[in-house]
Amino acid sequence: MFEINNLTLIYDMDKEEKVYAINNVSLTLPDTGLIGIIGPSGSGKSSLMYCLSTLKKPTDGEIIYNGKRYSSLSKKEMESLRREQFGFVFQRHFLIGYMSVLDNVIVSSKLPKDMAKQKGRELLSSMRIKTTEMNKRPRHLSGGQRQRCAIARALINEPAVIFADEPTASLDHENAFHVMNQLKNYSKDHLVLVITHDPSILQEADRIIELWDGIIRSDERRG
Amino acid sequence: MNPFSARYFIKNNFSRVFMIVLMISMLALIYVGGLYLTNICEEALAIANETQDFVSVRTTIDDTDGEQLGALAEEISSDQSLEVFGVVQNYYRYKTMLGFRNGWMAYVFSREDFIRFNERMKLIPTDTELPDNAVILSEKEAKYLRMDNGELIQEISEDLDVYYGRLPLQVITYPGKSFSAYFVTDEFFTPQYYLFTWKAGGRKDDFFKRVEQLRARYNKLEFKTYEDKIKEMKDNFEINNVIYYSIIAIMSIVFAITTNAVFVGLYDRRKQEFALYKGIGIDTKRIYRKMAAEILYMNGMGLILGVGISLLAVTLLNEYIYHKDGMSMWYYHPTAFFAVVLCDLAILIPGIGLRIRNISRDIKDVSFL
Repeated sequence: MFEINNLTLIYDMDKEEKVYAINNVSLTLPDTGLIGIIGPSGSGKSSLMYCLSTLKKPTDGEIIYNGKRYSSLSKKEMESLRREQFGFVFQRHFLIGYMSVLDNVIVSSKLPKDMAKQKGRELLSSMRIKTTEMNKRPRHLSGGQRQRCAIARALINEPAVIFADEPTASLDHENAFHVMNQLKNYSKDHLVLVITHDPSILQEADRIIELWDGIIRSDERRG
Repeated sequence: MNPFSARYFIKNNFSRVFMIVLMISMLALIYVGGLYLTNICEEALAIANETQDFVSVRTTIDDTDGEQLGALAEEISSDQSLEVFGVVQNYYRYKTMLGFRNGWMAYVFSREDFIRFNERMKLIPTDTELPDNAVILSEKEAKYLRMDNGELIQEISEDLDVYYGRLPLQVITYPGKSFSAYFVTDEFFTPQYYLFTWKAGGRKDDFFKRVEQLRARYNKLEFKTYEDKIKEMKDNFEINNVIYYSIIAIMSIVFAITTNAVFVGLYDRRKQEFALYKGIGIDTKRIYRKMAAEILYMNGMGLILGVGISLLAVTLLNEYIYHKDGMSMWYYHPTAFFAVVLCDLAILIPGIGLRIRNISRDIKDVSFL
């Protein structure tokens, strides 16, 4: 599904000391599976995710997704890709404060309103959000609940790829396990990329890629 | 309701949105101000409208001993196609919406002349018993002067300068739409003015051709047609328009700056929201359309509230201030309407334009998510 060739991302190009967030990375990612990307802070995990998800343009190299070269895609085509194929779980939940939790989940849904609401409720329930909480504003929920809502939002359109940046950062152990279980189930038919600095949540991962200073240090395939 | 829709945002952020709605509703001030100024001009024009079929002519200092006026009077009086009235003038006053008292000329007729004049003008019923000395007032003017039909004026007031006419003067009112007055006197006078028009059955075009011929021939006299009076009045009121539109320009800038400041507060806090939309693949143009729709909704709500405030203001002003002096402010005038449109555009164009620019800048790099 993903073919990454000699990918490089440099920050502060115009300064003397350039920062290589990603340094000549090449790899291939499959259509399905739970893939963990680990590494310390500043190792380039998030930068890799942003490049793969079209949110950042690499300095050099090429990304090919299902035969489409990112360098040849227009802005509109990239937006379409993000909308149709990708789902995002960001480091912070970024739930919109004036919308109810349910409305936050369905805001980008392509389904008719009633069907979107039904699906949204199902997803939230699978994330252990009670029905009584679904019409509340995010500020009435705990940090962990908000993160689980953000995951439900990412799944609403059944995207082919989920990019999850530290999805369990604000969750307790039990909820973190539950969320990773949900993502693992989803990864049976889709690709799920989980960025984390905590390897303990990747016990069920099919592959773990370790990044260090923008370079792949190890690429462990499991099972 | 679709959570991405503009209406959803308005409904769930009404306390924040209300500030903008309130500010835009203050365009009512522009509207009511426009009604004020146009009303002053229109009231004056209405007086001229009443005698628009008549041409007035009087002597000037160039007409030594009134030679030309005498010759003209002889010529037009013997012209069977013309209706001619020799008049003098008194003065009356009416109140404007700005509270000033405007003075205006009132023609004084002999009794017989006024009966003929009335046959043409149909101010009062033709079978009215006309006294020797009377003042014929429009109902508007009578209301301002606090006079009733049939009342006898025993002494002169500061709103009626009666140089010609004997007291007591009987008041006769007619349902006129302007502040107008005419006098009837049995006192002998030498006409200072001549009013003339075409006789019933005559043609207006032929009449005005005749007027131009007379104007050319009697070049030491001052002829005033309806158009001449209107032009003179409009020239006098030009300063009102200059002042009004200058105020519009200044208020537009003030409105644009203040509402834009509130927009900045309202939209800057949503930087992450718009970045999120872009991040999850919502079309950039759709994001702009959403923002523009929100602003247009707020604008629409503000205008509706402004209309309500204007209607209420005009109703209260008429009820408690203007009607008792015979005045009436209209609820609509194109000048006031277009002034509001201009001001509103001054708010909307930078409001939407700057928000698009800022959102475009904010969502350029969403990697901060």
